[in-house]
Amino acid sequence: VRLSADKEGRWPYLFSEGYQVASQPTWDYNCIAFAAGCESEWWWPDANGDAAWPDKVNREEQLACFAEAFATIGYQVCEHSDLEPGYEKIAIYARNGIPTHAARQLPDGRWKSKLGAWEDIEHNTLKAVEGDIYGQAVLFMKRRAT
Amino acid sequence: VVLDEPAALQPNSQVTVLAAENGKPGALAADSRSIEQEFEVLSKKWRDDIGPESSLSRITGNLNYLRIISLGWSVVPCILRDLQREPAPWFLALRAITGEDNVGREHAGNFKRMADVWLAWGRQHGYI
Repeated sequence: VRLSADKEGRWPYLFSEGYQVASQPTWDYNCIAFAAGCESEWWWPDANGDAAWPDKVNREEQLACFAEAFATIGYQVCEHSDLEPGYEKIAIYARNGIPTHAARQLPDGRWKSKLGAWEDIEHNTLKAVEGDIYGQAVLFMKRRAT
Repeated sequence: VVLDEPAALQPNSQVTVLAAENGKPGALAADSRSIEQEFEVLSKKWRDDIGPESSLSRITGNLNYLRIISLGWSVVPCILRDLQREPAPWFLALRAITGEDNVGREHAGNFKRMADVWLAWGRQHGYI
């Protein structure tokens, strides 16, 4: 199943890298919550406090704050996005140094993302959702699989 | 045309009539259909603009979202009807317009629950 042409066209590599839609659109959760394993909240460090964010982590749109947020659920920064048996990995995307998106790795090495309030997708590579919207995957974190 | 007070105008004065904005709850715009149409246009532009955005800061900082806030009290029923359809993050807009700073805040992050609390507020105040 593919996204509508209008949506798919927003990512230059999405179709060529390969992906499939895995859910219906919803405002229930976003990519950050989804990467953290939560499908009932929208996570973001917004200054107005409408989104969920770990209490002890600064509400600032900085990579360090996102790394701290994921550290609260056991993730540690790692060097690469390659599949490592026994570990769960996430990738954080940034554009001009500002976090934009996160994806989580599937057990087969592919990735899964929630696209804002749009659908979840499974994508073969991190490059699939790189581009003007999300920028590039710049930070990788891992934790032991449970 | 009815004015609140007599207006003393100089000869050849130019008068501009503007739509009421940001009025009180009892001063809903007479032409609610046009507000509804404006909300439909602006909210569609907002959704198109934000696309797959995850940043709530950018979602609620979008110019069309801010334009909806500028419509004032008369747009509150439109926002609440939109919330009935899906729990999009209209919460900042509703707080900005109504001054109700605490409605739903205890459920931050859970848009469904926040929407439910605002819808209950809307029913209680007769907006939906």
